Amino acid sequence: MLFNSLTFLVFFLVVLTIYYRLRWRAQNVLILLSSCLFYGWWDYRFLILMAVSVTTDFFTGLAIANSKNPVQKKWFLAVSIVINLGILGFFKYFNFFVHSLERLLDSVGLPFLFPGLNIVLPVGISFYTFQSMSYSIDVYRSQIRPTRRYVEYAAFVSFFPQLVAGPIERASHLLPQFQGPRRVSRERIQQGLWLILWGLYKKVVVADNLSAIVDPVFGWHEPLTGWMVLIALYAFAMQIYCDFSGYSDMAKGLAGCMGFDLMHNFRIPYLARNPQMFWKRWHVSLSTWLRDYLYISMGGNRMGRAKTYRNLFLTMLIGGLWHGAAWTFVCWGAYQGVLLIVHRAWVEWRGTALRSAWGLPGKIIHWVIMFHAICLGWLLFRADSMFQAWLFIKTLATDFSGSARASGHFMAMVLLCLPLWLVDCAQEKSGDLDAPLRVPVALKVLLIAILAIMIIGLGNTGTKQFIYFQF
Amino acid sequence: MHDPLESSCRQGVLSVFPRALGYLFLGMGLFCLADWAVRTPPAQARLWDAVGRRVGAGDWFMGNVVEMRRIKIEEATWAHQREVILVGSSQVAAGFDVSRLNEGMSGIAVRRMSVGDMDSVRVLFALPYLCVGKNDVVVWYVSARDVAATSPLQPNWMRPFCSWRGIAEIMPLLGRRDAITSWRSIADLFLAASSELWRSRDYSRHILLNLGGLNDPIRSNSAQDQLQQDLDKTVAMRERLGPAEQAMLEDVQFAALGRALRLLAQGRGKQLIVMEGQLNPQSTSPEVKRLEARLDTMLGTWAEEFGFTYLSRADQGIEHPVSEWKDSTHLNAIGRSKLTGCLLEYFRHKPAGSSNP
Repeated sequence: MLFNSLTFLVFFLVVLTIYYRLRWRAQNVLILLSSCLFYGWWDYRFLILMAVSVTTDFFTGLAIANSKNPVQKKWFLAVSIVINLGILGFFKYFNFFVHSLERLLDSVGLPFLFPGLNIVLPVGISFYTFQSMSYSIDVYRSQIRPTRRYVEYAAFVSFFPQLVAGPIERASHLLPQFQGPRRVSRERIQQGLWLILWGLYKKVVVADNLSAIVDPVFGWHEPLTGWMVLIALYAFAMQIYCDFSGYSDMAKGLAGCMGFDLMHNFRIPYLARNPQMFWKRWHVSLSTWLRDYLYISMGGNRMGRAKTYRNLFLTMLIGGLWHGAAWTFVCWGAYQGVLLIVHRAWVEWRGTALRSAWGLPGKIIHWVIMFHAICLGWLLFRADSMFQAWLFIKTLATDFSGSARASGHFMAMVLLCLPLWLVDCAQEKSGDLDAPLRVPVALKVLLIAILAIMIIGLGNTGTKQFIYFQF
Repeated sequence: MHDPLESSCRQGVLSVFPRALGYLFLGMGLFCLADWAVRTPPAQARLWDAVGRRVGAGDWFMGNVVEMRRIKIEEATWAHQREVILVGSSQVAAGFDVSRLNEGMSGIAVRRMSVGDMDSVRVLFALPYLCVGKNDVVVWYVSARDVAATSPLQPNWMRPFCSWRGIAEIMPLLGRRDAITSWRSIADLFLAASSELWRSRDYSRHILLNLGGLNDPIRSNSAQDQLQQDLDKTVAMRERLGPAEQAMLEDVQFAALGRALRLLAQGRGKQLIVMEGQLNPQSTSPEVKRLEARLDTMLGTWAEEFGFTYLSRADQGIEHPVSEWKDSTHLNAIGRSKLTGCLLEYFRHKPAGSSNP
């Protein structure tokens, strides 16, 4: 059941109608039941996995809190981590590692075929296992107190607006919202409805249409020229941003209509001027998760320069692998790690004096460089193989021929993205992600009408899966 | 101070959102204005011309849609004279040589209003787009393929020909179960009937995604691809259908055929000519033969009831052997020449302009 489908619209309206008539504890039960229906819509067997993850972390959380013995606490935490990562590793990475091992053995002259398993990747498994696992870790670190109500905890993990593609919420932020009555204010509903409309525009108008430009290029159906590859890369950068942030916006908007506050997962990432800034703005819930539970656990920046670089690199490498079981994702993670290291080294060497001295032109130069560095990363991310990524880079560097079709694609991208860029710039300038809600009424109505016209007139017919569901 | 608008979830949304309706009406007003602008003839002409320039060699459906919609725009400016209108599916496009008919019809224009995969339900649905004038002679070529069991609602085909009248005509034909299970398609059609922006959205997107020209073999995510997915689903659905369901869907097709014939025959009588179509004899199964026999009987009965002219295979006096077919349903050049000749021969004896052809 996708947010951009009529089925979901009916489902949500029915749930919301009942929800508003219930008291908060009954609301939790309704959220749990409707989340099960929402998730089971893909495949009811997926519910079993989620139930295992939820039950494990609920009881290990209680066991950790009740235990006085630090070693015992550590063991309970280990049980939670092993079970969660075990589920994730098996369903997401088993075939990847087996095939990689087969290839490795084959390359050294020891051909061997492991018995293949037809494993179906459950939708959103990476998101809810990380969310559930962070609860056990937070309880272990005594950052939160565990809940004693199973329904509350299960509703927190399975909360349908953010279940399959995040944001990966922390228990300290979201769980307390399940432990008392929710309040709905005019501002929250306004913000919710705006975010749903804005997310829908990003998904069905920008992301789905740009995929029709990107897919033929990466599917080898378009004549390969440098200009065409460059446009496809720009288009993919916008596609993945709008696909994922569109989902996050809708998730936040839907949750807002139910009286919940989810974190902002994207903070205008393409206006970042350096890699560090980018990762503070892109998929914030994952980058902060990796920072808090991985980077800091490995020592962070407290153990000298070399180990800081190592930690940065390993964190991003694992972050890359989190996205998918393929070498292209590993390389993308490694590339992001290198970008962060280079930036850190540069800042340590030259400081920020250069940028400050250059003022606005300096900012623009940094932004242009950073945007293209991100796009290069997206090439690794989107490519079907390292060979394709290499060939595309070579084409970009050697073939400068253009074509009317590529220019047409560029124009189409500009037309589709214009409202997005205007709103992003307004948000950046005001430093307020809710800036569109604060504009004068006439402008607000005009913006909403333009979005509605674009969604109705140019939205993709049919429902196209969100890219991040596969992660 | 307590904000009176702050409320618990148990109070409704609108109670905390007093100005919402005002914004909604204002936004809807702007939307309606944009939709009206797209409906105006100059905008429509530009839209369909732009789509027409981007129709690829394999985009047969898109080509048909452009042709039909262009005629619809021009219709308003016609000084309507008697014409011969050929109605039907792609069998009409493959089977009749329109330029030869125009040459042979001595002053009466012949116009083709056929769309690929236009079965009986779809003819009934698309009637408002067929641009048939009161005095026109209508020739409808109907074969067993046009009444075969198929999903009655396929929005990707129907969207560009959507109207409230079309929806009102086909809704009574659907069973309650069909109407419930197809609620998404019905919602889609309701939107298409209400808004030109929705009705032509696949084609606006096609223009946008091919601004710099067409890369012919690539039609990623085009209206054609989406239609193809529907057609594939239909084939898969037919294989799954039990005899009872198949009979029910066939009945829907026959009911639509009867209704469309009644509407076309009103005030036209014998000027509606229904030709029984044929299929490649090599690919006809006992099932197709049964369907052909039922079609022949029903058309004969309706011809008497509604007063139209029915040209059965026996009346046409022609058979198309295997050598005259391009594939299972479409005639090749030899077959086309023969069928066109047959129609010309008919009009030679009973001219289209006469009151009783």
